[in-house]
Amino acid sequence: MDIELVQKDAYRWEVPRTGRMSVPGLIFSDDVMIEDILRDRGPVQVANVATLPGILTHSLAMPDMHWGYGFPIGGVAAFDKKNGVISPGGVGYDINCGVRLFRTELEHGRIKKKLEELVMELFRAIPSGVGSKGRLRLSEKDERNVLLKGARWAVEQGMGSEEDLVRTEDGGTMEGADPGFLSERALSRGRDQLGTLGSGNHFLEIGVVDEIYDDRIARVFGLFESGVVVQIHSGSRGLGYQVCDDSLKIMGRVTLREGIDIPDRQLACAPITSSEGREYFSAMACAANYAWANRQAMLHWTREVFMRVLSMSPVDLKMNMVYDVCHNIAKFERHMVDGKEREVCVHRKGATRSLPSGHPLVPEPYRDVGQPILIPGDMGTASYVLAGTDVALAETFASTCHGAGRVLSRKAAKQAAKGRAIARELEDQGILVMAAGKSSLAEEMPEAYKDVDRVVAAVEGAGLSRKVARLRPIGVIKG
Amino acid sequence: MGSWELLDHTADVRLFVRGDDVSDFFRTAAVALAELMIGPTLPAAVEHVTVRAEGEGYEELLVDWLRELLYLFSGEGKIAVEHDIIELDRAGLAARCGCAAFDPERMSVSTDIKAITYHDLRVIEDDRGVSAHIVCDV
Repeated sequence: MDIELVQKDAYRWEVPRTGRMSVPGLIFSDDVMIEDILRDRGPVQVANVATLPGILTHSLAMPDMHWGYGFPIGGVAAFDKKNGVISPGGVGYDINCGVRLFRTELEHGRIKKKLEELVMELFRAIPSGVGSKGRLRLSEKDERNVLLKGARWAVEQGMGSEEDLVRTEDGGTMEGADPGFLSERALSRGRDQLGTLGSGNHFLEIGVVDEIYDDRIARVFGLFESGVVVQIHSGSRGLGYQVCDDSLKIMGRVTLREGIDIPDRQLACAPITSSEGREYFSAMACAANYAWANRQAMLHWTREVFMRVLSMSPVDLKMNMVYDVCHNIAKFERHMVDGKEREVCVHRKGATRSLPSGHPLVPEPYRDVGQPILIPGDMGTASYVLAGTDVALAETFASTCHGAGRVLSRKAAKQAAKGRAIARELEDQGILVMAAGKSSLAEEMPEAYKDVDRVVAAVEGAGLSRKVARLRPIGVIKG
Repeated sequence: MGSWELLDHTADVRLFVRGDDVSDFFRTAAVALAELMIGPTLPAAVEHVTVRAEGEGYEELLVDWLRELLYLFSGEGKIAVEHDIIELDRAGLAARCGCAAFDPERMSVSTDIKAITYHDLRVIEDDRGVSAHIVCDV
């Protein structure tokens, strides 16, 4: 397929409707990043998604987009609830991979001498790395409750408070979860991994607020310059992957049965109203809840470590939630389509929800300023906090980017890292890193990723989100 | 005798696997997975399990086969190091696999394979044997 993009403005490129596409594609980018996107064949994937039944308005892609399985990563697609499809490829393998940000009353200077101890204690308290087992071994009954209740389960076990849930997307509990739809394999993988960080590009990072772009919103979010914050990037672990694997197998058969003609078998899907469609959604919701329970547990242990190492009380530390977002998910939401409100199934794969001020789903404390959006840079680079906008609600089913994508393969990154001590280089920049895996540091080095500053500038330029603050890492633990 | 090699890929891991015939191809793909996960020196088998896979066509069958082996590792901590294929056609496969237990004290994971994908997957049968490119999510 030869795609000719039509540039609409400085940040928008249209993929014209051709062939079997029912809607055009819309790619958000800038002049520089669009070249990478074209090279990566991303627009072909955007066009492929536009052929799926029931897709509404546009097949969308964010500036950090890159090639993925079926759907591009950085892709957003909304389907009509009655005649549309739901697709595991539009959610991603790591269901509810997401980001949680929490803040403290501490200023950078206050923890400088204790940073090494904090990083070491966090590394000890929160298992990371391939196949790591968690501190929470779940019974069948416990696991069922985790899958049903998500972050609320963790709070009920004493790992946090109601306030944490208010400042979590969906309150940390996705409705419609049914553990009965999970395979024995998914359940078995979930039993021992709760409370683990994961591997690859997952991390827990101590950072400082480097720059404030919007004083008013930053204050409402609890952020101030030089303030110490903690960010967690993690997902649903082996359980989520197993749910995706199990579902893809089933969806392959359903796609054939329903006579859905797909240009790429990884776009396997089922009608939303079919039993398989409903079962996938339920299983996905379970995995989403698992990830939220996981991030809530890790928040709790981070609080414990900080209080212990710094000998501070919770009242003085005020390690409070800023927000928690998912960036691999499918959700039922109400959106305006052709002037009428309807219920749609929005798939965000490597994309974050972006709701404006006044929207009822924005937590009450933030309703005047808009939903916080957390954009993690990768290891050793800046992260951003943004706020949602009306433009996103109107144009992208309330969606924006999720972070920076890779530009160097793991092999190339390892090659580029030969003879270099990445940990030492990061330390020279003032970033302390502890990694559980040997090769992961080289694979995850900053040059391996796109420029998150550019990605954020593009979404702001397009009006999809507004910058609130930039964060700089000072301590990182990863698998 | 089959062979495999690791190719370059931006976000994931891409393998090229070739076998002398279909059976050799499936066996080599399994060996590739094991060596990719824990390195070129595979431990000795301590138990045997029968692994079954199904699919409509060799592509689906290959993905199901490798997924079963991946599950043995990720879900049960076992690495299949020997693969004796006893039944194989375009709809199903059965193999008697010699497995070693993954011991985190003595072994480490070289590549964290999280899933087997269908990306660019076509099993090609020609006069050089049977081959395919396989992309794994890491």
